[in-house]
Amino acid sequence: MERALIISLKVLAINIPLLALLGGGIGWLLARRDFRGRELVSLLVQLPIILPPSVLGLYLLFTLGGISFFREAGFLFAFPAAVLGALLPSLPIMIQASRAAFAGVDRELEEAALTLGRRPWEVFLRVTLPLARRTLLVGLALSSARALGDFGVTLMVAGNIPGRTQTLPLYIYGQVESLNFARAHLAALLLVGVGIASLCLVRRLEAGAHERLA
Amino acid sequence: MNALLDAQISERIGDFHLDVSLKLGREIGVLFGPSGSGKSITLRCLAGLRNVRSGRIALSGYVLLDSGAGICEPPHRRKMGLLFQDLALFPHLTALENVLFGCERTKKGRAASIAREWLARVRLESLENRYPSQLSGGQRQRVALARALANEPEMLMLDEPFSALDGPLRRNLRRELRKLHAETGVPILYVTHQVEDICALGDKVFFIEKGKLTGSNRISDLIRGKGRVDLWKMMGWGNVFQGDVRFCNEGFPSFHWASGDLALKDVSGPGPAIAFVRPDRVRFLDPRMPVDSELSRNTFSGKVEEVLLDGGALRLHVRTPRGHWQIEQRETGSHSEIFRPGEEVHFAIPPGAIELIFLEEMKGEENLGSSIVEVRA
Repeated sequence: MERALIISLKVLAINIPLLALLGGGIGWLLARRDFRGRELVSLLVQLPIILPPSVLGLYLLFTLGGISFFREAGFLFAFPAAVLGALLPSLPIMIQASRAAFAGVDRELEEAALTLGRRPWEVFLRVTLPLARRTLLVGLALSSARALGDFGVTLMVAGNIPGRTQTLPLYIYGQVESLNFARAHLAALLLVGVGIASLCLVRRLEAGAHERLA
Repeated sequence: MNALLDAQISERIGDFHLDVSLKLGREIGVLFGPSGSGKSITLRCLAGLRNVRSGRIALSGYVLLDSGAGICEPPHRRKMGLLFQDLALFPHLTALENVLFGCERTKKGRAASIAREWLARVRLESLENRYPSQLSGGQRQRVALARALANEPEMLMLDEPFSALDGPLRRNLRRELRKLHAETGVPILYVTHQVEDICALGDKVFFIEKGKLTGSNRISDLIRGKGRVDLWKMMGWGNVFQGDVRFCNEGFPSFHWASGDLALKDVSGPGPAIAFVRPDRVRFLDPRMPVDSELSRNTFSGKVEEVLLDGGALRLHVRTPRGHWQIEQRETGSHSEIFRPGEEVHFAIPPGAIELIFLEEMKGEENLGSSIVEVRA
């Protein structure tokens, strides 16, 4: 189980900054930029939420398999694929949260900061980001928990290779198949603990946000 | 006075066309107009928060916008402070941090002491660690003012920042704003749709209607009755009548208009004129008491049609057989009891309170003809 736990943590460690950057960036674009096809982009980025993981995994497998670079680089059925498999279904959660977070920041506050002589990047770092921070963190906590628990997409694109691509959810599946229920329960308990901790963090962040704005 | 701000703005927003030009010196200018007339958009265009299709804005000799030459300074380089209607205080920063935000970039090293100085100037030094949500409405206004001025703007613009406050607080803040203006000398452009702001704050008033600047006047001239009649009408404030100044057989001057006449004093000569009586110069009479001889020819009786409490003032619309009058009194408890709609009231116009504008003198003024015809009688 230790190896599966370490792989899961490594996947998570890479995915958290990716979720923050990609999810936060796309969410900001959708919230703050008016461009042609915005609604279509908004729809497409939400697709992974409603598609069954096996369908998402299948399309991802064939898409990446069709690109020679990924094929030759040995991307599929390797650790990078496990990272991507966990990232893709969790990204829409982060995008949705960051879109709401940035849309919730009063534009007048940003404009006031500009008239006080601050450059746009300073306004983003000093005003927009601190005010959106709690909702962003809620999104990051929920999407990270989703990434940690991914099963279907990871299985389709990265397989279930112990020591290489086997994450905790895949480990549980393997242990159940081998009738090692005690090990499966232990790993499941760990994931349940992470899930509860994430929810507690989310509750605290949300409560804090309400207090500050009251 | 040399203009520090010299701006011409032309911008189209759907069917709405904004077309204004403003010149303002080291003074307080009031941009006055009804809701939807383009006041706030004008401020946003000046601040650079909105793109302007064509125009030119120069402030203290620096060109901030020149659509012809392709110059358009971004808002953070314009040095134009803007106080929003909702103040836009940063909710995640304390009062001190909010003020610091306005000055720490330009005053590195001394920023904290300057921010504290500004908080002290607006009498909030003891509340520097409070968040905006922990401050009262008036305190928040002061923090916003301190923040805007700590940044040392070349010009300060205020978008109806006191509109949500009650009368005494609004008066205090207006006084404070005038004091700060006297201390800093920063030109101020103040947007409002409240007449009392014009009288209490401004040196100069710009009238805006449907996106167009319809006129401008020095406030002192306006109060002395030298403004254009259409501007008074636009303010919806004041008693304005069109008629003639005549001298009776005994040689006493009086003003005649369609619905009556008023005794005058010290008039230069007869002729067609506009008479303007400020509502706060109208005096109520007690019918049981004898009337001052000076007032006796200018007494009226009528029924109160409407009573409005505006800040600390009581505004009455009174209908008499000889026309409609606006009367303004400082509010007191007894007044509120006496002046109810439907009540009969007696009042007088002191001859010295009647401002006359002879039409001959006004001929030089632009756009007057059509507005005179519409003068209320």
